[in-house]
Amino acid sequence: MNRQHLDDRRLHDRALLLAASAIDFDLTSAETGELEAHLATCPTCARRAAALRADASTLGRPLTLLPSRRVDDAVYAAIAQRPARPQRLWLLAAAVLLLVALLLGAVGVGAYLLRTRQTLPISIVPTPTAPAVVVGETWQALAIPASDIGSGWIGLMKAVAVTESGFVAVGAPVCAPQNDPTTCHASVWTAATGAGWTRVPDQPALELGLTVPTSGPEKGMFDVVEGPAGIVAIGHPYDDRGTGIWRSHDGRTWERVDGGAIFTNATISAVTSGSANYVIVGTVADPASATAPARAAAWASPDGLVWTRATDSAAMAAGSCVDTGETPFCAGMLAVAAIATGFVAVGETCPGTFEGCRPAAWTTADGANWVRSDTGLDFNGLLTGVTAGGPGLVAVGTICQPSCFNVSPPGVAATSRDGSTWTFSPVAGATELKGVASAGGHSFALGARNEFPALPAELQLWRSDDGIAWERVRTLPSIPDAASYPSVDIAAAADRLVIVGWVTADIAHDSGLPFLRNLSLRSP
Amino acid sequence: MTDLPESTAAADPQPAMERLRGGAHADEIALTTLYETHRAEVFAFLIRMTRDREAAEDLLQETFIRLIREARAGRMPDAVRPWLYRVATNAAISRARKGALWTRLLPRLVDRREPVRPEGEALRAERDAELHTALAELAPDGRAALLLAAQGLAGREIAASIRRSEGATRTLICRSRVQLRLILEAKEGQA
Repeated sequence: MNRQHLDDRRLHDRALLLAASAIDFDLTSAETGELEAHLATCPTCARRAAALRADASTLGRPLTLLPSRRVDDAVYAAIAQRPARPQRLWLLAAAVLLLVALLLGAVGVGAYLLRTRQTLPISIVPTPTAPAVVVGETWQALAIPASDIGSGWIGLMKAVAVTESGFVAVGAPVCAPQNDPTTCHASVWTAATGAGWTRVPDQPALELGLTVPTSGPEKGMFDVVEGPAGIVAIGHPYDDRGTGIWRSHDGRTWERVDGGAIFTNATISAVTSGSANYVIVGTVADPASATAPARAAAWASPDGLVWTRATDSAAMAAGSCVDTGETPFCAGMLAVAAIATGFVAVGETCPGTFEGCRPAAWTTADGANWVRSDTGLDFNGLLTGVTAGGPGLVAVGTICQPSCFNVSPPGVAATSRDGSTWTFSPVAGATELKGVASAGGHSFALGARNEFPALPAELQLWRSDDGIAWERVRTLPSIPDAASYPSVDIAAAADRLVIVGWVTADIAHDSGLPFLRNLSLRSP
Repeated sequence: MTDLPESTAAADPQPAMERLRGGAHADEIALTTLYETHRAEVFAFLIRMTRDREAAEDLLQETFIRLIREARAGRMPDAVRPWLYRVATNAAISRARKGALWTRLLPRLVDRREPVRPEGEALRAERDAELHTALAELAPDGRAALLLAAQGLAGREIAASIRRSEGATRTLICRSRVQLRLILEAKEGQA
């Protein structure tokens, strides 16, 4: 084959590719001219180009086939079977979000509580402006402008934290236009008092990438905390299994932090802050294996910018991942709180199935070396939140009997002085305890009673002084037609509790729904 | 468009919407509507991807069960149709990869003579059945890209479905079209 022959063949091959490309894509004017000129002098190429178009036309011809009755019956049955509890993957996402709430509570509220309790015994009393106030009685449901919510599941609030200037909330991606895969942005809101939320404008640092299938870690931001070097938010962008870390000094202008290779294969769950550093917790597992070993994992940073992964010791074993048919579910650390002696994380371990998952707890003094400390946590279930409160620590979660797919699985609370040994107790009447925060000598937890088909679902506020005996304070404002509360978070400032979250009213329209309740605290 | 195969499914004496009695929730109605709107086209896509009715039915069921699960978890896709194709594509490609091993083992295990199946008859009834035979010789992602393009999905949607960049997807589609044509020409030459 001589050079001229090779050159001719390249011309024919290129023309064929251009003809194929022209079926689906716009050619440049130069490409169009090149193709037309070649086809005019190559009848064989012209016939091939026509054949390519005919092939495409044939492939696009409708093929009128319907599946058999067995498929119809299976799908209709699935539609008619309303879940009593979120799917496990949702559970993971919800747990992550709840962990965020717990972290926020642990950091923003818990730290406040600890500071306050040392010097100022606080009781809840009526205030002059609200003389009959009982905790939880005057909650307000606040409207967020539709333009700041987006549509569908996007743009929903997931977590809230107390900051120096008020509150900051983070949430799911906001994408526009909504019917086209496009670049999405993490959603961030700020509010001085917990009311009047304003969404932070989209900015390059908040870009999450192109929308892709929904399996895998929750996308967007799902936890936030204020610490010694500013506000740090965490989440997952759309690109592969990348980890998202952001830092801001005011809640409005953000910088994206490159966590680097130490976050490879990580699914992060929560972030908190101590007096000197931040800690992120989560799990690490090989995504290529549906039943890989699950490793609890933690990362620490003094400034939110440079992170170090904690030692992957034997204490970090969290069982085996569960094959879900899509992204595996892998247990690990779900929530973390700062205490005077370091940090405490809670979560779960699973034996490769959803049945038999057990709560787990870890402690560390420096964020780098963790010790497993499950003593006393003798039940099937998981812990999804932890805060400084009660005798030292208060954690909440769910009892699973034997799995967590039961109708209204009971809520559970556990307490510990320092995270080394625990005492647990079911919380009568509570289901799926989620966010937990502490203020004024009390711990507050959220429970979501999602009992399909009964409507509306209930969001409940629980209060405890010791972390074991819980009192249902007041049902929060009823949301007509609420089907479930997939995600709620609570933060406590000096004088108020703020809850953010969202409710599913129907499958097409989820509503961002922050609540605000003024909580009067006063020192005798 | 004169030689479309007829449906092989039995006529449904009880439309699904009628099954939704008075107590049906809005999401049940919406999900049923979505299923009945998209099942035929997604099923046809899966038939062309797998050339196996039973496998296509399993994948179709899996796809819609996932949609129901996502909806119930509060993650209803904004654009349902591209989402369905995305999930169906991934499921079919995953099955094809797993099936590659079985294809090598099957001759030792079973009688490979296959009964005549309705979907096979339907495909053969098409004027260009040989096109689908040739299509089966393409790699799964190339086959999926061509079929998704044939369904009118945009380049970005196809790229998201097969987890490639837009540029790589464009290259894949073009090369797959050419490869398909060359396979057909080779078969014509043999005939």
